[in-house]
Amino acid sequence: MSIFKRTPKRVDLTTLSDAELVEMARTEKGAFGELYERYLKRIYNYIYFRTGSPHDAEDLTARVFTRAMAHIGQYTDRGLPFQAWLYRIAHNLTANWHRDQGRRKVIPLEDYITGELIGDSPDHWVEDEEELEMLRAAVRRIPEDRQQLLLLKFVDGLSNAEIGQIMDKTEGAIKSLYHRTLTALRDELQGLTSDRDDDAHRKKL
Amino acid sequence: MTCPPTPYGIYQGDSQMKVQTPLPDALTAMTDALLHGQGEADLRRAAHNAPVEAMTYAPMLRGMARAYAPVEPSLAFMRDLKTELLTGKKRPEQIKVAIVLPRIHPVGWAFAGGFATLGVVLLVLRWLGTVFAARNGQPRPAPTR
Repeated sequence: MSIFKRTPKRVDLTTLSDAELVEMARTEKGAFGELYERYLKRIYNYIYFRTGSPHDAEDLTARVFTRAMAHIGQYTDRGLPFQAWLYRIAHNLTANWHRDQGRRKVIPLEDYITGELIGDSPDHWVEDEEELEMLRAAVRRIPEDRQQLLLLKFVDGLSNAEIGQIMDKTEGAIKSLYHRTLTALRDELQGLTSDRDDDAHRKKL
Repeated sequence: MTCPPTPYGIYQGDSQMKVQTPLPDALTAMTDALLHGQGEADLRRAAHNAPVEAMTYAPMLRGMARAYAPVEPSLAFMRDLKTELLTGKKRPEQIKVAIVLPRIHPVGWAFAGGFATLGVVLLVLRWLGTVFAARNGQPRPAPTR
């Protein structure tokens, strides 16, 4: 009789935690599909802002998920959440990409300075896309670990604790590094602004 | 023990003193407020107990939030990659355009140039030969068919 027939209950994957999905994904591809949905945009954004190219971001994102799926059987949650594991893969692949390319985008200082900055202090220089690109260029010049921290913070909106898991540092160390990074970036921008003013003054004379 | 003077004349304890948030904490709080809160209002609220210096970072934080506003990957890419991961069906290859400089083969160009020069020299010599032959009154060789 049909009332005794039990149809397997379909699990709503969206309600499961990452750890549960990872366990399921070892045997069921659908579970990996849910993890993909959760993290695709974040990983894509992280890579996109590190490479500056949508095509390369697509290529590398595809490689991140392909690698994650291939190695999910070997992943064990020893204090490293799935999210952090995924970001580490993304970070390694992006670092390799930079090494292979050998053409890390570095905008010449002159180009940076000749950009039309509005106002006298950094308070005024976030006005349009051109200036935002200058800010991104300044970020690209700082050490890689600091770039990674800023992207995880601003692009992916992660907390210091989550960033600490990805970068293998304590929450306090991340907080301190964040402070130092912002200070260095601010000083560099102030220096560039004053250089630009000096340049403008010299041109007037 | 003498109590420090207060505007009201009565020492009210340390709880009444303004406790400043250390700058690294304030910067983290300001960023989180800007990214996850109501924006400007929350940023200012987060900076309320922070050192005055904290607000000098605010323009840069706003700029960073704008410069790194998340972008959307293309829908086709998201769909195709998911299909590839779950079914193994390869997604369409991305067409890449690479700027390739023209290759120069010096040896080939030298041979071609040499043959061309030799051909021109032979033609000129032959023409000179016919001219001198005509001047000497010798009959011109019949054209070969």
